[in-house]
Amino acid sequence: MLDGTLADKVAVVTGGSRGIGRATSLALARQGAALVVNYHDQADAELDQSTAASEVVAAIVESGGKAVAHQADISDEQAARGLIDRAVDEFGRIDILVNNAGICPSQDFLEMPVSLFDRVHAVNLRGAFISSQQAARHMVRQGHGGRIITVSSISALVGGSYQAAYCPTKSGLHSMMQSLAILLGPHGITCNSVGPGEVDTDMNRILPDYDEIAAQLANRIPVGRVAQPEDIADPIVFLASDGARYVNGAFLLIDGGMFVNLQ
Amino acid sequence: MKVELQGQVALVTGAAQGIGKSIADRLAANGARVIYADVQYEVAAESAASQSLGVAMAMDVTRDDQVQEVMDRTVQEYGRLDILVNNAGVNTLEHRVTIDEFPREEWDRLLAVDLTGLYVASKAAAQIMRSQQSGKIINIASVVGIVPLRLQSPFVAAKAGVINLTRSMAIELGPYGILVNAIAPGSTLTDGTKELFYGEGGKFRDSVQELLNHIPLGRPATTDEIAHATLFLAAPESSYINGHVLTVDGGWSAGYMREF
Repeated sequence: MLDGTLADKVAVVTGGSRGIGRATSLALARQGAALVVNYHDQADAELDQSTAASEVVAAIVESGGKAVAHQADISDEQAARGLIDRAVDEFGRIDILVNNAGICPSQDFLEMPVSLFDRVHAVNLRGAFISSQQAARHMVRQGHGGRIITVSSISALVGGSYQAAYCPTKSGLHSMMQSLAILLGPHGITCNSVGPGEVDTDMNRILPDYDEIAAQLANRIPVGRVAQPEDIADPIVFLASDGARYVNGAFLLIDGGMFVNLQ
Repeated sequence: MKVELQGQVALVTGAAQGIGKSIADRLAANGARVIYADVQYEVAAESAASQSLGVAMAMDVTRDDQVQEVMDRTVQEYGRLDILVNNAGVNTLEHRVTIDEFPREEWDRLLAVDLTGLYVASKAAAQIMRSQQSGKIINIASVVGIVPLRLQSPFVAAKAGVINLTRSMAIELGPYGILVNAIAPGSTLTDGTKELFYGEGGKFRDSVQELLNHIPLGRPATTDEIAHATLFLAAPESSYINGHVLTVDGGWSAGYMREF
């Protein structure tokens, strides 16, 4: 997009230091939005990427934008509310929330401890619930609408053999957005989700032989390749833009045609 | 929202007025050469004249020969076809009746335009796009292809058909670099819906509030809001979206509004 369509807007991206969140933070900032880039220090450190969030912020600031990094584990209620409040403290308001933070540990269902199920739900679903609620409270008070955009997944529509904990959070996220779309619509706040297919990010790169897996998957994807994070970020910018103001409660699948081909 | 469509050639069916005109205007304003194709050539010519990159061509989507002629002319005059927007559609204004009373001729008339016409235009365009190894086809379906409505059986059937046809075209044509997606508009403010709902003398004006009660945003879409979504699907930014049906319905199909 060419026109700084988000000038004067303030956005929070959860899990904004890496992957889709990183690309989304950069893309929103390119359109003029001021950014709160959330990251979780432990998660970044585990992948030896402790400087990831500050690099995103530096890139935005260097190109003339506004951004701050904010560490928070959004599964913690106080931390998640504090993250959203940071936008208001720092930039005076919040217009756009992108619920992106998510984890996807693969494990056989028969062996999966309940603690793992709980953790995935706490980050993916509970974290988005708290963040959305806090953002919506500000947006309703501000009185000029807003955008809540949630990164769901193709996994909201299809199961995965080692993803008995992850997939239900992704369908749950879209279901939550539908309910919020109805409740918050009258306030001019639209709530939508995007459903990425297979994306080249740390979440998948953590698998050994990922390049081989990606090449195999590409055969099942009509456009012939897995997605890059930017393929997901641009449609999120569209949903945040003024032109998308009548899109509400929608699920925007961004999968190169994978879902229809899997059926 | 502004995107880069410089040098691209787009064809919008049913572009004389309403949603089609807004879409064509939006694509042209973003740099595409746009063919305003419509069975009402005079009106299309007037609409196209408002855009420096607009040109009108007469085309009835139920006529294979006319569709082919327009596609041939497009390639001859502009060298290529990058974007096809299948927007041409009709609904019945008079026959708002249950299926046991629905006239056969009216059923045939609607299906011929709304479903078969979309096949005819897509087929001709896909041949051009396949040889280019690139292209985008955007079908204007409707939210009533997802959720059923009473008293317009051929329209809901045709739009449901368009939605699944979109998906099958996406898997057929994806490998040739052609992306196929659909937009499902909710209730949209046009001359047609003014005649039915939103205008002073609207035939169903009394029930309009009942309809709006189901829409979280509390109003119908403007044609430009549908055009913006179409522009996004036509833009380079959506290059990984294929086989998708994007609802632009203000939240209508997201669920029930209820006070408890």
